[in-house]
Amino acid sequence: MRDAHLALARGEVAAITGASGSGKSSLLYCLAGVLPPARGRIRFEGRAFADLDDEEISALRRERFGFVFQYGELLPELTIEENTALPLRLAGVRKRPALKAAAEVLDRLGIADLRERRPSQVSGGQSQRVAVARALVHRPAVVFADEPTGALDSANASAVLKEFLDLARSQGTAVLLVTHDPAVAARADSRYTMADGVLTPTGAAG
Amino acid sequence: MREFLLGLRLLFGSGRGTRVRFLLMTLGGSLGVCALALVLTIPAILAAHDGRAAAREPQVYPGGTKVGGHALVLQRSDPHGSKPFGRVFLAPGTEDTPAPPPGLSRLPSPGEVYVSPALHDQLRREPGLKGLLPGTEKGVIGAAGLTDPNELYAYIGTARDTIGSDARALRSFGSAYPPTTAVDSSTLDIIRFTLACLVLLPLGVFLSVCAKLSAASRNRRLAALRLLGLSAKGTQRVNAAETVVAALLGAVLGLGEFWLLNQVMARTGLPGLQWYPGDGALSASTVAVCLLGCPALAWFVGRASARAAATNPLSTRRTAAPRSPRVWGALLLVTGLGVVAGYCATGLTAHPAQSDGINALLVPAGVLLTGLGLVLTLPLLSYALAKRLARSGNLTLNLAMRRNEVEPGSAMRVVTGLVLLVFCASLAQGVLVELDQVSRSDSPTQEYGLSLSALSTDQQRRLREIPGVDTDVLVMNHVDDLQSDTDDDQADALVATCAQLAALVRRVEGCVDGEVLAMSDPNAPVTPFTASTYTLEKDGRRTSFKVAVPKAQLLYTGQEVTNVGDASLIVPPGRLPAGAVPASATLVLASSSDPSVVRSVLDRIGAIAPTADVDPTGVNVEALQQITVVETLLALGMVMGLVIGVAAFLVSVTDRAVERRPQVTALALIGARARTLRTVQCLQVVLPLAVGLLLALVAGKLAETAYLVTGGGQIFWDGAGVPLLLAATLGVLAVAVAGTLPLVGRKIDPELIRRD
Repeated sequence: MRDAHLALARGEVAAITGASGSGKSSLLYCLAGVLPPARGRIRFEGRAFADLDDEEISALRRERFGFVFQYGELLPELTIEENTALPLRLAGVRKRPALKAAAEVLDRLGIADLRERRPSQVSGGQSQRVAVARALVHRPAVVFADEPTGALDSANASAVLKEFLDLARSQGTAVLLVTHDPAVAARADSRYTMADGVLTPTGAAG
Repeated sequence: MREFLLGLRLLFGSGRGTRVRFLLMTLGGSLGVCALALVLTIPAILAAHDGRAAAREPQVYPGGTKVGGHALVLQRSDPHGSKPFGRVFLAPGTEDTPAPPPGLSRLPSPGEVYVSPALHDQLRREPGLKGLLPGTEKGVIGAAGLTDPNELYAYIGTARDTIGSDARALRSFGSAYPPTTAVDSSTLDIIRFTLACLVLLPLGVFLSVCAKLSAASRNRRLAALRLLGLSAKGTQRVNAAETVVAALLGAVLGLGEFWLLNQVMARTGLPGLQWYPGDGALSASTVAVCLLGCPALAWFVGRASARAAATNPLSTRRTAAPRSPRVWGALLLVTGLGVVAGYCATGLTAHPAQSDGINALLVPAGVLLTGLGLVLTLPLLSYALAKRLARSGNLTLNLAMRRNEVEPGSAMRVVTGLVLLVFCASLAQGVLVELDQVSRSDSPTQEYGLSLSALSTDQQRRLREIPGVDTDVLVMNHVDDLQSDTDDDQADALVATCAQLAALVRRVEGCVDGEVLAMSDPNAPVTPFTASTYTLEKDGRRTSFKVAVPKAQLLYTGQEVTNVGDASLIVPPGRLPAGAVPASATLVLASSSDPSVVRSVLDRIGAIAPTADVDPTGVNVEALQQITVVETLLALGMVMGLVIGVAAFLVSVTDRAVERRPQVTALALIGARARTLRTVQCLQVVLPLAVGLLLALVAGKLAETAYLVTGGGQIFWDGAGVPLLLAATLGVLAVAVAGTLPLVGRKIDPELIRRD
């Protein structure tokens, strides 16, 4: 990966597209502070990642970032409500208020009635909505989404993406999407293409 | 066959995870087969020992001594340290000369001595032993004439007129039964049962763990095959191919391991148990059981573990719906505990149950049901505990217990091996306590009598300083004055202080230091005595020492078998002239009657005074030897059980962590601290383990008590073993904690949550 310049403003939705193996997910995890870059700098709210220790970066991920993975990666043993409340609980919020906040987000995504179920008892689309709820429940500054609709059919993908971006925008949360689907990228405010490790801006929403 | 070959193709072409599982199953199976071969071979080793002892046993003509011109034989067995030292004196006859015993090419002529190789070595270290072997060493006894390579045994040729009046007319060598067995048959049955529990139960858990390794990914693969059109039975056969091949390879490896183990152990020996390599050779039936039985068992295990994927392939990806474990497992535990608790209760009554009749069947059945029920009840307990604690407001506890709530069986597979180990350790303790009771005297002290005249001053000093010897006294013999015909009225005297006397008897009253007192035991018949005379030696000169009949007397209650009972007087050591020692006396040393202490003291006496005649009052050296053998076998079983139990735990906990990596990575990505993840990992294992261990301790102690009650000993509740068992339990918990902590790494690898 080289010559990658990317800036994300508050509430902005950016999408990175590219073929499999082009390095887009690696870039996403670099920006999320999971993988350290060999060269270059990553800054968040004025602070360079290089100046932060592991505990501070973990705290950033816990409190200021959210994540949506391709297959949701919900914990199968927790209920939908508990899965959603997990970022708040990890940040030290007590159980009752955390569950209350989770219930509100689930309600906004139209899946409040699934609260008591477990991930194995809901459909793929519902499961991905829960993943979205988990990413947004603690009102993060940025959500990193790695192929968030990659495992869904087109109808479900479109619906989940709409709800995800609407909720993020309403909270002022920036979203960095990685996708190989041009239709998903088309929903973003700004778009980039990754090819052979090189990131190229390809346009912004009109 | 087609499915079997497909199973093999998948086995060798399904990536590293499958190969690692196959390797673990093979190694685990080999360990188990090695343990199985050992359990099956131990009786053969003991039988070979007893067979050789029987084959050399002299047979005498009934009726009398020195019949006609037959050869004469006299057998002597004395303790040399804690080992028996056998001597066979042979005097040639003029008619019907018997064939030599096994291990000798001819009978020794007068003045010739044949010794065992171990005795040959001992003679070089302790030349003083030659005094017990009159004659010249002409050769060594062959292996066929010895019970084991370390036996101290000798054939001594002697003249008819010097062999002694106890000699018998020798007919032949060889008997149907050995004079003493290495381990008596009833004890052997108990050992086999305990060894089976110690080794085979943890092994069963280990194999079950291996069969379930990478269960999620394997089930997905099998479900895919099923969906592609393979029949349910065919799918099961595909899975069974892996377990059968692993079991077969494991069996071959295990037999090889046992062969190696036998060669090494036969040369090094174990405490109290030595054998020749040939004694531990694998029998055809053992080989057949291992090579046919293990793969056959694996076939069923392999098929059973694939049943879910074969019958309901669509369910394999949705496994997280919480299932409450079946309750019937608890019924076995309740039944088992009911039986053992019933026997424990009889121990509280005046008529404890005996080990005869139906009890001989019910006690082992109760113990087995308790052990089996323990295994089957653990998931239920884990589930109940998880369900209760999962509601906690603590996130760490919540995460840990939710996981156990969903997969209680998986959590318990991790800990079952260790829980069973603690249960079996209780049983092993019971066997040892029982043997200890049967073989030791009731007395808390053990005496060792040695003739003072046979000991140098330096030997006496070193004997008194032996670690474990708590006290020493002299029993001084009165002068044998046959002329005056007053011998019967004189008394032997105990040269001791009141403290020394108190250490040798159960109770003493009226003892006054510095005074000569008459001694009276109310439980023993009273023998009146007159003034007594003793011969003392000082600087090579003999003097008489006369003691008048004292007016005062002390009362004491002696042990059942004791040298103190020979004395009717107590003489304080200070009353003897300075530097004078009795010319005729017995030096009595006393230690605790704990078998290990007795063994140690006897060994040290043997090293200090090899030719002295030791009277270990009330101790049967053969019985002591048996206890050593039993302790060794049980220790061996415990070590093997521990290795297998810990291996099952480590394999299982690692597999669980590997299967869980995507979820743990996701948690780490959303900001969970490494210490939170480690604590979750640890709690998932340690909490159910703690509950399981507690249950195992209680159930194990009850099972042990049931065994002790029906064993007929005096001790029913083995409180002395509890601290050791608790320490072992805490050790197991510490191992569990240490084993789980490294499973969460510091680095996050996002690739772990990406699918192919």
